[in-house]
Amino acid sequence: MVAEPRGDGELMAAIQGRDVSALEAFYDRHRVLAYSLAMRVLGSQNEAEDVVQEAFLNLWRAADTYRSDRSSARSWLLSIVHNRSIDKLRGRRTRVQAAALEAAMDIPDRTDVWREVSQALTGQDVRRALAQLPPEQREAIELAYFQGRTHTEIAELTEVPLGTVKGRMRLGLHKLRSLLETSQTGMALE
Amino acid sequence: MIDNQHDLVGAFVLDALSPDERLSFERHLATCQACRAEVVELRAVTNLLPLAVDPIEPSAGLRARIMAGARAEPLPNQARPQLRVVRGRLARRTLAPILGLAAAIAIAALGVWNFQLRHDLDHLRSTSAFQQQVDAQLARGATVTRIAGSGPDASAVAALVQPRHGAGYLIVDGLRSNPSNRVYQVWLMRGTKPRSVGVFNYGQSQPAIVPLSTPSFGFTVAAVTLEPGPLGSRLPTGPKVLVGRLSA
Repeated sequence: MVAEPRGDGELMAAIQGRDVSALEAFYDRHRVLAYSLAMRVLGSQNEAEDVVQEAFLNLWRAADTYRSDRSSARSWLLSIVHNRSIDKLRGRRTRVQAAALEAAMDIPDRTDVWREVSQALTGQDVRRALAQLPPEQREAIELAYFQGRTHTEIAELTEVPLGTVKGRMRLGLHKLRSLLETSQTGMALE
Repeated sequence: MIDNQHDLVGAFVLDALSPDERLSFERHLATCQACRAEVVELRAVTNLLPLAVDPIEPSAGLRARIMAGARAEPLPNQARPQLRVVRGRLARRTLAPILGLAAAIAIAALGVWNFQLRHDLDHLRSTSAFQQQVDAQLARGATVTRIAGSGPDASAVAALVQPRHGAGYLIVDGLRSNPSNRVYQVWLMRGTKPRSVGVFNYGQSQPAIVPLSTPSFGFTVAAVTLEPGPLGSRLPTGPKVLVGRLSA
């Protein structure tokens, strides 16, 4: 009889108990996503593998600090990979203070429904939703997220006013959220 | 002004603000419930962007390297390793505040750039896990070098932590907040030749952890100066606030 594969939550609990086989299973499940993200940002196999290696080892060391009520294990891993990749791209400027300040804020999490939806989304869903965005909104989001560009740099690159870039980012993300909700449920959730 | 700040939510969650803008927006966030809620809402969307990337398989060797690294990590309940402080002239007592800062490395190295970092730091400070993390860093062969405050910042304390492989980290505490138009810039020097290895803002009464862009091997001096923001200078121009000699 074949055992049911363990879910991410269960794997994280086992990783917190220093179970290397759980880390192996977690790696096997998320390696492609983590590596693909690092490759997309950095474009270098060596650098991308360094980032992914660092991210999984950091997750291993920091497993005790993981809070399942704050983010999914997958999001946690990918945020480490993304931050490290962008840091490499930008010359490793610190972002500790930002994280600390956000930590001090008591932000009510009213995203339970969204979280359930987001867990069921596939790469195809996200690509399709991105493709449905107005091109200028998609461009602003992708330049920032995947190329580490600031909004000022994007305004210069695309030769549009800074205020327009800010608006494109914000509106684009809201539109994306709405599209993703619809793709899962057939109707907007909120 | 509030309306203008509100427009920055998208750029904030995409990490597309300059350090100055980010600090300013964070101050706004502390007082704006609507923006905080929107940050949560939109961050959930940015968390999904990695799914849009075309899948690429990493090399087979990566898995083996990661698992070997994990197995080499000391277990939390293992006997505490003998502290191996490379800068032998530093007495353990004088290292205490530095080690306290160095524990934050464990968090920085984790890449835990998320909502719970502040809470985790506080938690670690108050538990033995804190010391265990410090021990783990040192047991892995990291070099910890004290960098002393200078001039009006003489009471500041910093430690440069250089792991055996890869770039190091500077942990800083007790600096004065930098003005909004200036940044602190970290330099490593070989002889008289400075190399910029990072810029950071310091504005809170807690350690700042500054990942450096390059390993400190072969450099003889580490220093921090106050430079024009947000990008710093090509060469040091401002007052030196921290300086320390490294073993080359």
